[in-house]
Amino acid sequence: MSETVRQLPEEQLPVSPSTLERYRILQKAGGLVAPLLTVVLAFLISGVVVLLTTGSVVDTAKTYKGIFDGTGLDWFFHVGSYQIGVPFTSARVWFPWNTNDISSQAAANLEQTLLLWTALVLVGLAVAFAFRCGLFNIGGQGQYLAGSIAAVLVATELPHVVDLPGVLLILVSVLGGMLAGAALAGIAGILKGTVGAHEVITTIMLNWIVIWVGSYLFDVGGPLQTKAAGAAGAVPASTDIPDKAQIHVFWGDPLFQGLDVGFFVAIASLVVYYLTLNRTTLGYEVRAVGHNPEAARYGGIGVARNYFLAMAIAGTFAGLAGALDLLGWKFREDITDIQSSSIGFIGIAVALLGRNTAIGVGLAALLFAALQTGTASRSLDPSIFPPELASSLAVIIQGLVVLFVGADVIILLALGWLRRRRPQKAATAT
Amino acid sequence: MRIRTIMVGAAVALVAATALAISSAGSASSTKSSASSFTMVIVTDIGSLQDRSFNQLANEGRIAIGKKLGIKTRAIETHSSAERIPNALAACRLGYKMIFEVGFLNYTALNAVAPKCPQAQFAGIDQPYVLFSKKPKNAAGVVFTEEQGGYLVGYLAGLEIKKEGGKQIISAVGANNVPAIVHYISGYIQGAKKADPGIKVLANYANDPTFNDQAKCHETALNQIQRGSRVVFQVAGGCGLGALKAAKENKIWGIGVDADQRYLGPFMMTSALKRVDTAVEDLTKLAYKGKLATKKDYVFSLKNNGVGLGSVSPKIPKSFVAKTKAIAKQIAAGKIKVKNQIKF
Repeated sequence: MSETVRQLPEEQLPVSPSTLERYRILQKAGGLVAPLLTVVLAFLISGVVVLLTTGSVVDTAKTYKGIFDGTGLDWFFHVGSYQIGVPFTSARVWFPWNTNDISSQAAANLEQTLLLWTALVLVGLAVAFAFRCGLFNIGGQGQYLAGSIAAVLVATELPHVVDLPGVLLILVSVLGGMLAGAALAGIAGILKGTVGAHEVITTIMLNWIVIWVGSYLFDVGGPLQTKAAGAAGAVPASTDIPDKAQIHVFWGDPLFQGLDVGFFVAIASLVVYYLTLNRTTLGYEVRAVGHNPEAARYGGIGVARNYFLAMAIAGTFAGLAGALDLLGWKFREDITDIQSSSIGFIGIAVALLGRNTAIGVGLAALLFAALQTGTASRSLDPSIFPPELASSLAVIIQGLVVLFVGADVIILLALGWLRRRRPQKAATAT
Repeated sequence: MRIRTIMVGAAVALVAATALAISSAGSASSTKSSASSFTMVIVTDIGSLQDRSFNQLANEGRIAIGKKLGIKTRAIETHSSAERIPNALAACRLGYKMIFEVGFLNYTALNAVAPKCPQAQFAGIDQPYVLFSKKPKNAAGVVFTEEQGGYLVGYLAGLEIKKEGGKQIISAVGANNVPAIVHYISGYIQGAKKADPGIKVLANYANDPTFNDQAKCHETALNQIQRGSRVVFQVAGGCGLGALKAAKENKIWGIGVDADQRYLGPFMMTSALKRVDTAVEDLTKLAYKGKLATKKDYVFSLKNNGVGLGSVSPKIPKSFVAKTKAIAKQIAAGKIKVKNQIKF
């Protein structure tokens, strides 16, 4: 985009200042327009897929409406007179929307979307932060799991040693999760900085180490498998965390996977991400290394050190996601989840679509979280869209979005071409 | 100009789409048929409705009983552990009277939702009642004696391999370490040893909790075949189809699980049946009549045809089939005790 500006030396400018301002706005919007078009295009093409499956335009519209309702975003349109609980108290106050997840499917769905958003923002940041240092962190999944496993260990074992109050226990468990994520990612950072081992390879390998260590720990007969009655020796899962270690649920029923205050931690993390990258020396160095490690080294910046720091911070975000999920709604780690979860990989798509910016990651996480919950088979009417095909639909739409994230280069090229044509037109017109 | 046109166009399209969504948001969910107030839903385990196994069987039972009783039924698929509770909750909120939570690991969802959903009755397929820590009054456990089915196919495989001579090695591929799979494999080993005391039984897990990754089971089976296995018993749902593929490629016997899987080809010896469909049908019928007993386990075994031997390949001598059926009778009569958990 900067090239288009360089093509217009000032003495040649036949255009009014307002045109120049328009360029600036467009340049800034380029970062927003392309991802938006990407998403719209993906939805349009998936619409064709749905149309071919259902065979009618009305049913296609109904399917999309089902997806939209499934995300819970329709909650905002059900205005009435309700009450909401004040966090951390038992008080209830007037509220225009129904927050009771037993009576409102929309509320229950939105809680799930936002829960997933919380985790996706954090694993997205884990990928984005490393990206800004020129590192491709594929290890978000492993770091997320390391965070979960560490959190469940601390939350279940620490009460045997010292009797901490709930808030402290949660804090220590979350810190444990963050540290575990940071340590795991830090290994990849150190290897990259010292011997130049490529982080893509090392993070993928570290993922598997965590998956198998976790499977060993919680498998039937494993050292940390649950000893609860009925489940001991049968359920391949950890012990449940004590009730006081569960993060406060401020919306919905804690029993039904309500939304916990980890949601606000994710929002805060977006701010921290932005500030660290743009307002600190560390962030400046990280970005400098990301732009050009050789130039950064010439400028006196420790490249190896920054590789390590960037990876460790990335791992902290992912570990935080794992810890929050565990203490917020999972309450136990089971090996099915360890082996089948893929949230860290969706995080890569989130970072890519969000262009590694704080706002972008927040929005992209919302899109992917909404897609995930919206295409859940519970929200698609089986008489319109067969439940047997519902899961495939979700994968198709997500796949198309990811595909067009790569194809946004085409959209950018098209936009750039249009932009370059405009001054010529303006010139011929005068 | 063109950019502006495009952008305006995109904006209009977006607004139109949102408007459509909003306008239709309030209009649905009021079309409940009152033909029969009894309704039933199954919530699957992680996996798909077309796993040619566990979930699919439950779905077949649902469709069959829905037609027989003329009631409204529905299936809800679970894709990740985060969906377990929301799916159970949705099933309750959609007003279904009988809710099946299919698959062992769904017990957490049943345990959480059932006590808060007194208007519905719950049944946990593969979930013994003892797992429900909240002891819900409106839930029943459903368990199968998989070890009996495993015993029968193991016995038949043992007879056949003994007759064929050569290396006396057979194997089983499990998806992962969960009770139903442990029971199957335990029975399989005991049955094979009964028919052929010198036989060696390899048992391995593919470690695929999704029950859907055929490549993993394929690899596990190939490894066993390399070690000399001549019969592969798959105990892994959709994943296990990969194990059977390996058996087919290497021209050795395959044994199916849960559903009758002989349709896969002439290399299939037989299948160990687990009549999840029967269980779904029977319990729905009971609930329909208002006779479903809760706070207990429904046990499906050889006695009530809840488990059994599938159709057998015509290449297997008739006398072996007769012998196996005689064993089945002895197990049903309690003359042979099959342990549901042995070391392997």
